[in-house]
Amino acid sequence: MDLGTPILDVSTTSVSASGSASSTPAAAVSIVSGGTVSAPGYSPIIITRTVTNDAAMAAAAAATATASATAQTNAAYSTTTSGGTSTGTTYVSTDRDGGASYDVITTNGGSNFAPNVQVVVKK
Amino acid sequence: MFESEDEDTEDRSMQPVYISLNGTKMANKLNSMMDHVWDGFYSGQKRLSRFPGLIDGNQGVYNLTFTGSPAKKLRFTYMSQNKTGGMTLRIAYPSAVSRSLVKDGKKVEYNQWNETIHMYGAITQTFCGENRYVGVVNIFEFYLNTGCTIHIIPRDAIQSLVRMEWTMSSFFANGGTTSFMDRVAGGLGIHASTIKIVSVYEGSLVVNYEVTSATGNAVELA
Repeated sequence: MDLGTPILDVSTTSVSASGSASSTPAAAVSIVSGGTVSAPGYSPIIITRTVTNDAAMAAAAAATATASATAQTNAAYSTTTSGGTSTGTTYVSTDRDGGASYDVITTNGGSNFAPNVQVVVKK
Repeated sequence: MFESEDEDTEDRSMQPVYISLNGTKMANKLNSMMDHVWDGFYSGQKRLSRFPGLIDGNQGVYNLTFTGSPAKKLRFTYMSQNKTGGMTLRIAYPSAVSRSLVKDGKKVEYNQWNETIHMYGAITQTFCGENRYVGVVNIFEFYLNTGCTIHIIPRDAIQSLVRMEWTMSSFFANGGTTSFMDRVAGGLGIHASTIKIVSVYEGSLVVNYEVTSATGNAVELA
């Protein structure tokens, strides 16, 4: 089937008008996944090259991901320059949890987070 | 007034049902009617899933929120002294199940797909039974006016989801849903009218559609 563009995923399921509304719907069956058509008893057929079915594309994607991670580690401090003069330095956190690195610090130079804070309770 | 037309209308509970007016804090909680039947020493547990609601039919938009799975078959009717009264009703379904709206024994199709807003055209409140399905959020909307009765019925369908290497803008620039339906119909050797677009969304580009029976007759269920 030509849809005018490469197909990546196709899944299908049947819906019946009969039965109770509380009954569990039929699970979707994947026909194409990651550009590969597969069915029980048949050899998979690649219809679209993706990182999941093409070794060269997977290697390229992995290399890109590695380069990105390395760049983040080396550039813990990001320096902003204007007209050749440094105008500020921003710390890029790499030791915090969370996707946006807004969570607690989990490591501090290889050690656990140990804040130098004293709590004083005034009675 | 609306009620379940499923076989389990007395046995399965979808109550309470909240009916709220969009843009206001108005919210009524409706409970099923209880049957005054006795099962030996105990009162019966059957509750008819029929809900009379008191509303202001001043062309408002009301949301119906079922706290149980909504019935597959529902009947709605609106009775009012106001001959020009009406309202748009919105039902949020938990899943994208294929449904039809039937009025006077005839199926009323969704509004025309709007390529600008990437969904079916909004309800304009021009005639009773005007309806559309809002994909992704699975909201079924329809217009009901004084003296009108409509039925919402499920239909047999094959639901399919296709993800393509395309952008949303490219998809609509190349014919959009019309071209997509033509291509699928051509590939499957079926009539394009049996293909209904459910939703189109990004990621790369995902089209959710369903194939229904060309001979499906909703009259027998109404």
